[in-house]
Order: sequence, then C-alpha cells, then structure tokens
Amino acid sequence: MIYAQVVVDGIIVGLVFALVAMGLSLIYGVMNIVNFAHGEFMMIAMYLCFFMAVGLGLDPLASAPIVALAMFAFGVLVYRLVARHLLEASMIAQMFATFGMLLFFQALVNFLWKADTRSVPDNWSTGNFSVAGLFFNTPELVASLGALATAIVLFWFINRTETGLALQAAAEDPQVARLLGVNTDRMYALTWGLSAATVGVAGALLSTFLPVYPLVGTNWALPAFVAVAIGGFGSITGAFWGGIIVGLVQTVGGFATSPNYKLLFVYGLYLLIVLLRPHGLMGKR
Amino acid sequence: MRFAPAVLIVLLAAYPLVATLPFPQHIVIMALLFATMGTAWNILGGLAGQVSIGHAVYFGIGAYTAAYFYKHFALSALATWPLALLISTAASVVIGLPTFRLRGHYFVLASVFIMQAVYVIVSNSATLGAGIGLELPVYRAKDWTDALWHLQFRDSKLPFYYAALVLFVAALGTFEWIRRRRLGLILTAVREEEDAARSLGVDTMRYKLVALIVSAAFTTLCGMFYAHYVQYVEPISTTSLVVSIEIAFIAIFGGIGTVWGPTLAAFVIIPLTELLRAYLSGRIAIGLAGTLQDGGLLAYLKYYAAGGGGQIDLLIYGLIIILIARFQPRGMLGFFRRLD
Repeated sequence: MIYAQVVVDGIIVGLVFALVAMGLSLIYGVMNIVNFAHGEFMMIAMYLCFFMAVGLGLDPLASAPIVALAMFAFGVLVYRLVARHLLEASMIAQMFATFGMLLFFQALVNFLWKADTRSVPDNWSTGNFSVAGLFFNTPELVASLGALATAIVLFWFINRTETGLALQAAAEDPQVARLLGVNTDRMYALTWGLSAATVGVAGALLSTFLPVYPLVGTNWALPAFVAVAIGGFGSITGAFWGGIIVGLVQTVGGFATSPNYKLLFVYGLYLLIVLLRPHGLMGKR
Repeated sequence: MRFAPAVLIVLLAAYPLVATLPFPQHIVIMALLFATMGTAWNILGGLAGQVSIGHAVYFGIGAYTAAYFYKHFALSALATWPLALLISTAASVVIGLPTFRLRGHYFVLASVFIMQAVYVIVSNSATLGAGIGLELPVYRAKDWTDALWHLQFRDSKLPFYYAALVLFVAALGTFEWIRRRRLGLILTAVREEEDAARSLGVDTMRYKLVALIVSAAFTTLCGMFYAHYVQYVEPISTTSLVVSIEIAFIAIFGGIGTVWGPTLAAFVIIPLTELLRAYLSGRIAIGLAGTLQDGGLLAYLKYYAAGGGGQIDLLIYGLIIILIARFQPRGMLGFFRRLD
C-alpha cells in the first residue's frame, strides 16, 4: 500500500512539474531559447499571491486568474525588452541573458523583501482526507488538479484555435509563416506571455501550501528542464508526460533514500536521457 | 605592445606597495582571483568552445579540500594541493567522459545539473559541515615560516596578494602557451568544426578532456586560495550555480576566447561589486535594524535607501549580464574590435 501511496504522490507533484515544463518547452519550441529564469517567473507569481492574500485578503485560488493575467503581461514585457533582441544572437548570448534574469530577479526580491520565507495566512484548501487507504493532502491535490486543468486549456489553445495554429506555424518555419500573413513578432510575444502565465498559475497553486522565498523557483524549474529533455526539447505533449515522470522519479527516489536527495535522481535522469535518447523518450531518432 | 604583459605584471606587483591599506589590496586580490578563474574557464569555454556552467564544482573541490584538511589535521594548502589536483583531475575525467558527447544546450544543461547534484551532496554531507560549512581555525603563528606553513598572516595581505598574482600569471601564461601550440589549434578546430576534426581522425574527446583538466586545475587552486583567504567555506559561496555563472560570465563579459578579455572583465566587475558591497553592507545593517517596524512609506524608502535586504551587488551583476547579452554579445573586447 505504501508503494501505491508513493506513486500517487509522485503523480500529484508530477502534474505541477508538467505545467511548469510545458511553458518552458513552449519557448524552446518556438524560439529555440532555453529560459533559465523560468523558475524566477514562478517565484514572482508566488510573491504576487502572497501580497494579494495579505493586502486584499484574496485566497491564491481566487487570485490565480489575476496572477495569470499579470504574468502574461510580464512575459510580454520580458520579450519586448530582452528576448526579442536575442532571436539572431548566439546560444551563449541567449543563455546568459536568461541567466542574468535569474540572478537579477532573485537579487531584486532579496533586496525588496529580504530572504525570509513567507506563507499565505489563511487558505480555502486545507486539511487532508483518505480514500481507499490512500492519503491525500487537500491543497496538494487541488494544486495538482488545477495544474492539469491549466495544462488542458493550454493544450487546447495551441492545437485547436486559429491563433494557436499560427503560433505553431511561426515555430515550424518563421519565414513561411510570415509569407502566409502570420505576424511572427506577435506570436513570439504571445509565446512568452503564455509561458509566464502558465508558470504563474503553477506558482499561485503552489503558494497555497508552500512558503515563498527568493530561491523557491530553482527547485521547480530545474526538474522541469529535465521533463523538457525527457519529452524532447520543444514538444508540449512530451513536456507534460516528462513532468509526470520527473514527479514519479523524484518521489520514488526520495522515498527510497532521503527526501534531501530526491533531486539527485532527477539530475541523473537527465544525463541518462540525453546520452541514450537525445530526442526524448517519445521523439524520433 | 610586446612589452604590455610585462608592464602590467610590474604594475600589479608594485600596486600593494603604493596602496598600503587593506581594502584596496583586497579588491585587487579578488579581481586577480576572478581573472585567474575566467582565464582558466576560457581554456575550455573559449578555446574549445565547451560552455560549462559547472566550474564551481572544481572551485568547491579546492575550497573544501583546503578547509577539511586544515580544520582536522592542520595541513594547509601547501601540503594538500597535490591531493586537491588529483581529485579535480579525477572529477574532470568522470564528468567530461559522458558530457563531452553532448553539444550546445544539452552540454550546458548537463553541466548545470552536475553542479546542482554536487551542491545537494555537499550541503547534506555532515563531514563537510552541510549547509553551514567549514571554518578554518585561526592560528597564531610563532614566526614567519610557521605563518607561511599555516597560510595565516595576521598583519598583512601581501602574501595573499602575491600568491594571487602568481596564480594569475601562471593561468594567463598557460592560456597563451596552449593557444599558440598545436593543442590550441586542435581545440579551435573542435570549437569551429568538431565533426570535420573527427573525420580527419582527431580524437576530440581526448583534447577536450585535456582542456578541462587544465582549466579545472587552476579553478581548484583558486578554491584553495579562497578557503585560506576567507577562512570560511560554505556551499552557497563556493559550489553553487551562482558562482558557476559568475566564473563563466567573467570570460564571456570580457570577450570569449580572447587572451585579455577575462582579465579586463574581472578588473571592471569585481571592483564595482566589491565597492558596492562594502559601501552598502554597513548601511544594510542599519536598514535591517528597525526602520521597518515604524511602518509607513517613509520607513520603506529609508529601508531601500539603506540597501534593503542586501544582495545589491548580485542585482547589479544580473543587470550587467542582461545588458551585455542584449547589446554587446561579443563581450567588452567587442567594443574595441569595432574600431579597427
């Protein structure tokens, strides 16, 4: 029974990784940029939730849509100010621009509000329950289901709407897309907006039970990179399944050894994947 | 121009005799340390084109070897450096063999994850002091040979200054020596056209490993230097992602693959951040002391004017990285290249 519990816990956390990874893979798929500041976007969203909870008394679940909108605008802003000018730049310049954002946002939050951990005071989703011998922590389950719902919406948007298909066209071949009348610049801006908005929702969902501090994003974004590698860089569906695998590996590994070492299994998994199947588990060789 | 390096070394050697106060000496010591690490990184990243964001692993190997053996056996880096270099070489081979098969962002991410894995292991290892780290005990030397053996000089920063200068000159010399030899040509071929080099029968893995071993060795020695100089070693300031980014960025900021780029960058960035840190650290203490308890906008303004919660040096650092990547991706030497 304990093993069933570990697997269920792994899937619950994996769905959140899946949502974080989808946003990451989206930017990579469309622009070939690895955004190392993705976790910092999530951290900023968590601070937004914290301050809305303290200042306006809004539960993170209620403020999630507002956070998604604000983060969308933030993503577009980052595109306009930084990412847009990196399209033709070398891989090193692209990576260092996002490394720079990682340092900058971590240090900025530290400067503004110190390194203290902060927790959202009262929550709608609290407590726990058990079904059929399995134990569930309500806020974690709510976050997990919320992440799944957001992932489905993102998936629907990209594959079933005209804008989403235009976005895929811009990713596939920008020049042809431009000839067909797609405004690629707007599509790139949309990509950054969507990526930031989805990771913002993940942050909002997590802030119902996780404390917020400047480095909180790293532990979620780095495993999400592994999820992206598992799914094949640039694949949204792949990133989703990759996220669940990462959640399972982290939880099972942490259970088998010590929670302190759970990330080691995830990092090891990255090396295994890229050395044995560089195009991901589902990708073609 | 032929004598420029010699003139620079003489100027650097004369500097602490003119600037006798500890703080100006400290700034140049830190600049020399980062110039050495940037130059060492440049052997692998600049010449061979392998962008490693995991060099803090080797910095950590040096720092922790020095701290551990000094703390428990009173053996300073003068005795333990061969061991540290042995560990660093073994680590280079173990890390290099799998990761050098990867290209582009696959390689960069692999270096990041190995870095993070080492961070997790070190910050959970009781032997290495876990998250708190290791302190190198203070020792009162009887005479100067005793002080030298323990690498503890209470009244003067000069020994550390000249040690840093020697490390720096050695790293710069090694970089230039490799660049002009056959090895340098092969590394450039690996960077520009790896597949072509391999099709000509060049064992590219072997040369990449050599570049990494040399690069890691200097970084390890810098870690040992740092441990004795600061007398305190903890995971976040030695073997973390932030330190890895700092090391790589020194080389990239100056101009990747250039001889003088990392040095130029270190002597611009390090004084800037050290001065900011020193200027603000005093004010931050005041800022944190109580202004916030008064509440109100004015209190917050006072708090931020006093440096807020700190890390303003990293704030500036991050901003510079973004701006350079955005406006001058070829690095600072790119500014000068435009002129000719």
